[in-house]
Amino acid sequence: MSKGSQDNLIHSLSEAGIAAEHPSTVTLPILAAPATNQQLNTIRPHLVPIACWSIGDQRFEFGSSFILPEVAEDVHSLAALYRGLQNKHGKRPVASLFGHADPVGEDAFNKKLSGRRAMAVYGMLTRRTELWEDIYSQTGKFTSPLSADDWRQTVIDRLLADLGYFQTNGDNQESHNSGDEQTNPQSTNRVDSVKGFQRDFGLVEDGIVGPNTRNELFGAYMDKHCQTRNGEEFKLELSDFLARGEDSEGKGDVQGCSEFNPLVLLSEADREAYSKSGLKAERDLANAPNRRVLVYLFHPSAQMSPESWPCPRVKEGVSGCRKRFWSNADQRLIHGEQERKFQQSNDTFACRFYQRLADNSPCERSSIEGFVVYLLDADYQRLPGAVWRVRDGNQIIACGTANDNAMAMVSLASVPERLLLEWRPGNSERGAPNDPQAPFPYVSDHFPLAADNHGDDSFNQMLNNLGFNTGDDLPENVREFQFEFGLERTGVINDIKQVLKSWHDTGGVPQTAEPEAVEEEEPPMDVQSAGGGCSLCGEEE
Amino acid sequence: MPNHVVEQGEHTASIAHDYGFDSFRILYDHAENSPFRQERPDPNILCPGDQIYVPEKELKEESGVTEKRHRFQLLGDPLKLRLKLLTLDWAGYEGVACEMIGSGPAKPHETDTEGKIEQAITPKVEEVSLSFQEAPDLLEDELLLKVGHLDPITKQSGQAGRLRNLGYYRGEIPVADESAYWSAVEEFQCDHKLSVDGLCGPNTQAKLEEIYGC
Repeated sequence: MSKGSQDNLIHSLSEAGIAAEHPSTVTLPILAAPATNQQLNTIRPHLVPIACWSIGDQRFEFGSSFILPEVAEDVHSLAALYRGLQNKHGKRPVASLFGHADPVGEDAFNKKLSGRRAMAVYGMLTRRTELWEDIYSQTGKFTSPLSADDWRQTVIDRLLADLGYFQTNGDNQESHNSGDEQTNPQSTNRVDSVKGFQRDFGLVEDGIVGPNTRNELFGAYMDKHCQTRNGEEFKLELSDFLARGEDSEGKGDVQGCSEFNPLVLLSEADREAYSKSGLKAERDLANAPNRRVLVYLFHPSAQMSPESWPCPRVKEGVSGCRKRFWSNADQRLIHGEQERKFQQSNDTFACRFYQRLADNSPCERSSIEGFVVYLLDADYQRLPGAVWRVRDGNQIIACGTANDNAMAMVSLASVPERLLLEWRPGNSERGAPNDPQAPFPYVSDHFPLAADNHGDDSFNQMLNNLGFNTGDDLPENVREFQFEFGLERTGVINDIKQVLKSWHDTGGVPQTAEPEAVEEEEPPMDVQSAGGGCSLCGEEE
Repeated sequence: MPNHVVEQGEHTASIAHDYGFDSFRILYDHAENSPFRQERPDPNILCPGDQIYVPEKELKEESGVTEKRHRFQLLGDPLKLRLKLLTLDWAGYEGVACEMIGSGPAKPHETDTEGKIEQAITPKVEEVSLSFQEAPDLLEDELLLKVGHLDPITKQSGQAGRLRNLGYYRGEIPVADESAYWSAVEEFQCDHKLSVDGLCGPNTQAKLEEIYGC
C-alpha cells in the first residue's frame, strides 16, 4: 500500500482503490434581494461529498458481485478515513454507494451487475447477510436476479476455504484465487468442512449448506475482512447512510449506475478491434477502470429522504437513471475517434446527478497507473501463468501471476522510469513471490515508459526491455539485436527501428529468434485490474 | 438631473435614500422611468449599468391652520429582508434560532413552520450575516448575505445567483464555469418538471422566480 503522493487529499492508494477527501468548499455569499412586498430569498444547502472511497474490479470475482478477500486492505483505508472525518466533524459521516459497470453488454444487464456489486459492498459494511443471501439465491428482494452472476458455483467453497475449513488437493489453502475447482463438491472432504464450520458456529451439523449455514458463513467472512487496521470491527449502521435506511430496499443509500458513468471510453477503432474474438481479455482489461464501486461520504447532518432521491433502487430498471441524464448524454457516451477519459475531458458521464457528486472526487479523477508485459521463456515461448514480481531498487513493489496469454498486468500508484522485473514459470513452486529469498530465473531491467518516449534513448530502453542490454551504447545493443536475428550488424538504429518497435509494442517476434530470456511489451495503459495477481506485496505500514 | 447609473448592490430604495428621497416610489413610479419599469419589474432587483431617472426634489406645500399641531407622516417604505430556509428535501427548517447581524443591533429570530424569517432593514443595509446557534443540516454556522446584489432573472448572473442559493450552482458569479452553470440549470429543470435543455429560457426563468421567491 502506498500513501498518496499525487495529491494531499488522497489518504491512501492501493492497486485497487483510493480513499480521499474531496477538496474543501469555499462558502460563497448569498446574493439576496430586499423586499418591498412579498419578495423572498430561498436558501437551501448544497449536497456535496466530503470524502470518497473506491474499489476497483480486481476486488471482485471477475464478472461477479462476490467480493474477494483482498478487499480487507482497502477496508482498512475506509475505516481510517472514517476515523479522520469523525475527529474532524465530531460524528460519523453518512454514506451513499454507487456501483458502475463497463460499456460492454447492454445497459439493463449492467445495471443489475453494478447494483449487485454495490449491494454486496453495502451488505458487507452493514453485516446485513440477508443482502448477500438475496444475491446468492437470486430472490430479487433487494437486487435483480442475474444468472450470469451465479454465486452458487464457487462462492461457498471459497468462503469455507478462506475461513480455514476447506481443504482442496490435500493442500491447506487460506484463500482461493483461482477458479479452478478440482474437488467434487459432493466429496466427504467438503461435507466434513461444512460440518466443522457448523459445529463451530452452533448450527445443525448436517453437512448441508442451507440458509442458516450461509448466514453464518457470510457473516464470518464479512467480519474477517471488514476491520480497522488494528483488527477492530468496522461496521456501519443503517443510520450511517444518507437516507438513514428509511427505504427497506436502500433507495438513497445504495444504487447501481449501469454503464452510464464510464471513466474511460475507448476509441471506436479500439472498441471495434477488441470486439473481435480472442481479444476478450484485452478488451476487459482496457475497460477495467470502469468497473468500480464508489462510496461517497457526506457531512454527518446531511440527509435526504428516499422520495426526493433521484436514483432508482438497485433492483429497479434504468428508466429512473435516464431521467437524470444530461440533455446531451448520448454524445457523452459515444466511442469517438480518440479515447476519452473523465479525468481529462470531464464529459464521459451520462448521469448529470452522479457527475455533480463525482466532479471533484479524487477517487474518480486519479488513475492507478500500470503497464502490461508478456512474459516469455528462453525459447521465446509465452509463459502462461508465469509468476512475476517487480522491484524498485531493493523493494518488491508488486507481484502477480500472468494470465493464460502470459500477460502480466502490473498496476502501481505511479510508474517509475526503471524497474527490475523478475519472473518464473507458473508451475515452479519455489517460495512466495513476496519472499525476497525466493529465486527467480528470469531477471531483467525494465523501462515501462520506453514506448512513450521519443528519441534514441527510448530505443535503447526498448532494446533493454527485450534483453539486449549488454552493450555499452546504442550501436552495440543494435548489433546484438541484429546478430540475434541474422541481420547485417550495422549498429545503426534506423535499420531495425521498424521491427524493434513492432516487437516491443505488439509482440511480433522476429522469425530468426535464438534462445534468450526476453520479454515482449505492450504500451503502458491505465490498469485497474490485475486479474490473476496476488495482493500487492511490500512492506506493511 | 442626469440619470443615475446603478452599481452592484444598489436597489431602488437605496438609490432613493442616497438622493434624499424617503420612498423608492418617487423614483420607481415616476413617468420618466416607465421604460425602466418594463425592464425591471422588481424595484429591488436591478442590474449594474441600469439607468434610472432621478427627479428634482420638490417642495411640497401643505396648508394647515396655524397655532395648531399637525402631524405629517412620511411615506417611508418598510424595507425588509425576507428569507426562507429549506432542507435538502425542500421542507422548511422550523424553529431554528438565529441572529441577523448587520442591520443595526443583532436581532434574534426563529424560523416559522415554513422556514421563514423576516427583518426590517434600512435602505443602506448591504452586508448581513445570519448566524446560527446550531447550524441546521448542511448550512454553515454563519451565512453571509449581500443585500441588493441579486441580479435580475433575465441575466445569467441573476439566474446563477438564485441557483446558487437554492443549492444547484456551486460556482463564481459572474459565471466562469459554464458547465457547472449548465449542470445547475438542467438539475433545476429536472427537479421541477420542466423540459431539460440546460437553457434558462422564459419558462425556466418563471419557475426559478417562483421557487426562489423573487
